[in-house]
Amino acid sequence: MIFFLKLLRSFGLAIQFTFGSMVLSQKAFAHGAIPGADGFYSGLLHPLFVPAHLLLLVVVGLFLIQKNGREVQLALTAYALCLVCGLILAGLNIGGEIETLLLGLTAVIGLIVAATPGGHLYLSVCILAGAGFGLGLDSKQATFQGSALFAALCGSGIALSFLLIYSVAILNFYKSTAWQKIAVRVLGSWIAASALLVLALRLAPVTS
Amino acid sequence: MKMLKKQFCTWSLSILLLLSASIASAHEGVGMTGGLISGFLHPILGWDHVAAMVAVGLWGAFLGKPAIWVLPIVFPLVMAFGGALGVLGVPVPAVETGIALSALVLGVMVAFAARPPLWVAAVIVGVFAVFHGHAHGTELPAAANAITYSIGFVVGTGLLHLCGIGFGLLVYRPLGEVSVRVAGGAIALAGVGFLTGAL
Repeated sequence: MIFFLKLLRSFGLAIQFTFGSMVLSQKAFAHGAIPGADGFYSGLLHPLFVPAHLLLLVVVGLFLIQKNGREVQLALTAYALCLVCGLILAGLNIGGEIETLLLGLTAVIGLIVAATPGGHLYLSVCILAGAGFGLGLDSKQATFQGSALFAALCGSGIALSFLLIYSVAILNFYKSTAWQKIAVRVLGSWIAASALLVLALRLAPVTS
Repeated sequence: MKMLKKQFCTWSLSILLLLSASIASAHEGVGMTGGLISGFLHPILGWDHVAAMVAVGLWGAFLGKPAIWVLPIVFPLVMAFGGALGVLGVPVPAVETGIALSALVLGVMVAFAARPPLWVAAVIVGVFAVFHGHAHGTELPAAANAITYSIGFVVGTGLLHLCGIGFGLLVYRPLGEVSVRVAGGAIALAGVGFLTGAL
């Protein structure tokens, strides 16, 4: 019974974090300007209002806490570099919305989290690089142009960096015992399942 | 440090609750929050789903490690696959019968303390998860936000497994095994009720 309570406690914060983030996203402002917010502030808030971005950030946080220190450092470096590349391409109007691809990546990372607590350095770097690049590229808000767009993308870059660090830092509290590690894997499977469902909805033929 | 952790949890929960109360969305199944809530409530409000998912947790606890966490991982993943089939309009025969059978079979497994190999248990659970997922997928409300609905739905399912696991862990207590097996029997009987249409 004690280990069930420990497992339940391990789930507590992670569920609270994920659920809370989703509840906060009360309106769909995906890729549009947030009312009342200028370029920079709108960009800063953008990841918080796009559930696909939040879901990916949480699952990447779960993925990273299963890794050792050096692997995390290299993976985070790759994330930051590719995030900047993605943001630059978004600023140059190259590429479009890739939310479906981000959901696919979320599902893959969720499955990896659920399947293997170990991993490979190159795999971690590639996954974080893909996540950073994808998030950056998908951060363009169509309503902004010129300097407002630049400011919005800067805001998004800062938010996407800090949210990942925040996610890893919170989840890091919950990796010390065996049950907490299991809880992380179970959460990974839940996120993968959610992402798979949403992917199916995106790919489903539209019926009226 | 422990005090700090507790305070951190309490404060963050309070802040999240306060921030989330900005719009009154009562009785609405639309938008992000509506999607989350309707997804979360969907598995919980259907007795046939509740019975089967609690039975998965009970059986996992009965089988011990690693089944106790493998089964609750397998179920939502395969359920998502079933949900995808439902959303994409791929027909699965006898969905409602499959759901009713899941309560019956899983209840019987718990009641008779069946201990098959892990892969057999995972396959049984996985097969039934397809039916549950398909039903959820086809019943997705059109107005709900897809992402938050799916998250609420998977979290609701997972928490039902946790309820089953929590109760199932009584097997390690005196008389606990009897109570868990009785609960399995009750779920099996409910399964019979779902199959015959009595419930």
